[in-house]
Amino acid sequence: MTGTKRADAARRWPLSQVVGVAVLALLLFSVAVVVIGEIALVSAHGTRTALDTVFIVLAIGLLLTVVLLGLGLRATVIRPLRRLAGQVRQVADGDLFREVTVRGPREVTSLAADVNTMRERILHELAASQGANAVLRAQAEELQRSNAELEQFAYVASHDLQEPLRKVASFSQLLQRRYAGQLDARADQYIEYAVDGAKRMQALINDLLAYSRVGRSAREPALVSSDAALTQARANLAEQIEETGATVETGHLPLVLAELPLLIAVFQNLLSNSLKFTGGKPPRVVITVRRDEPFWLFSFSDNSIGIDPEYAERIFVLFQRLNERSAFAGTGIGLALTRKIIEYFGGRIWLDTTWTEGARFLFTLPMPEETLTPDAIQGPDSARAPQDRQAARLIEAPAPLDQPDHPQYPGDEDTNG
Amino acid sequence: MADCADPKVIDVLMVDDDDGDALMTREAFEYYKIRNRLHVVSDGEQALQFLRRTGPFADAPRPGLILLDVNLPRRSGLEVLAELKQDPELLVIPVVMLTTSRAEEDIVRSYSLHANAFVSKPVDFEHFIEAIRQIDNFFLTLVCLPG
Repeated sequence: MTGTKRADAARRWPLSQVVGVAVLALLLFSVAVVVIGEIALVSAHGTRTALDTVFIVLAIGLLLTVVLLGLGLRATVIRPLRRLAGQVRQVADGDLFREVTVRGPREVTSLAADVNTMRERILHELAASQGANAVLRAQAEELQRSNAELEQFAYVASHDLQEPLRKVASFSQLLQRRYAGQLDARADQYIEYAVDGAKRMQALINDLLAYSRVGRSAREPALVSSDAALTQARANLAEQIEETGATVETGHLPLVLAELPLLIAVFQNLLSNSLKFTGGKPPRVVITVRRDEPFWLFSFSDNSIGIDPEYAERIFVLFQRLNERSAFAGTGIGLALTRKIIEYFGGRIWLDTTWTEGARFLFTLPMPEETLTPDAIQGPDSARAPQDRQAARLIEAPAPLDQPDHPQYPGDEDTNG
Repeated sequence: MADCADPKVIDVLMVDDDDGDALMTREAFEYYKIRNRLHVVSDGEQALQFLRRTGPFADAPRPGLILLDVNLPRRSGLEVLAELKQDPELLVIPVVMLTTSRAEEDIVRSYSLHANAFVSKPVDFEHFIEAIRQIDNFFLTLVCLPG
């Protein structure tokens, strides 16, 4: 506290003024000494003596010394300091190229030299950071350009590749239809392969187009009901769900920041995998959600054939397939597309390798600001009744995490049968 | 059902530079025994000449339906469409945009230029000829057109 006060005082009293006051005080003091001495001498002796003269000479000498000392201090210290301060202020105001040149005592010139060194270092670092910024900017531009080119390429290729493909498929079919009965079984098989190849190529192109389109829409992520997205995904797959006798268990799913069509695609891709990679038994899918602020953490579990932890990352690579085509159909884009969509929204998706009953994907989606708990918004200082928070949690995240017949998150006791 | 089906044969003009598609459309007509006559021209210039009976098409019939591809050489299908719909003589002829494109902007632009329908050419041959049959059935059998 005293240190601060002293610093304040120093700020209020510049050195020149302190010196001025000190000199003035000394001056007053010496005048007072002379006057008091004179009065004392006069009252003691009534007349001037030789001692008087000596005293007066001494007093005048003292006076002169004090005045000279003040003037000298002013010339050698205060002026150079003031000049230095003026120049440093110019530098501080942004004129970093202003060299600080001051003549004066060693302390002042060495301070000026230090300021110059600092100034040069700042200049140097500024140049370096400006250079780095320029490089970054150039790289960002380059990246943007190549990205745009890539998207354009995927889009154009997808359109222009469809045309010849359509010809291959259509005319093979036409051949089959026209000359049915005139060809042998082998010829029919050839045609079948040609048609199948063309159709598969078309599926790949369409998937590639869908993949390249993620993030191209000008729409901003908005409040989207993940419940509605899941419902739509289930409706889109209704036929397969019925065919396989699948069950989908879920509680109420929250609002997230996303785009509805893309979120539907996320659920549809995951669900479609669960329906496809069954080990013969009816698929059972359980979707739960919990808070992981500022995200909702979704868990998507099934009882499918599962995925070897070794392939936990590879499954998210475009057109990567783990099974031969004859066993499971598909282009191998589903999870790559899902990851691209989720990352576009700012979330993450990964395979939970601790889950061995089937496959379990965990993914996060950003929580709308209004859903965040006060803690997350205002910091730990905001006091709020814990039962309030508990109530809010129950309203916002009533997904049945705590029920024993639902899968738990890693680290939880797994009671799921 | 009110039947507007015209007993006489109707001429259909197809504007497509793709011979394969023209052939497939012919096959579709043949397969479904569509009695209507299919005429094919390969670009927008010829299409307008055909419709205005100029140049080599002085004896061309007036079509009752136009199948117009979006991606045409020189003048695009959309330009041809715009011109057709500005011509008081020709604007009553229904135009079906029949194209490979499924691009949203093509669809929107087609309809804002008063196309009567936008149909994406199906990849599968069966679906393709079925689409042709349905277009023919809808515009030339089901709906009532101005005479």
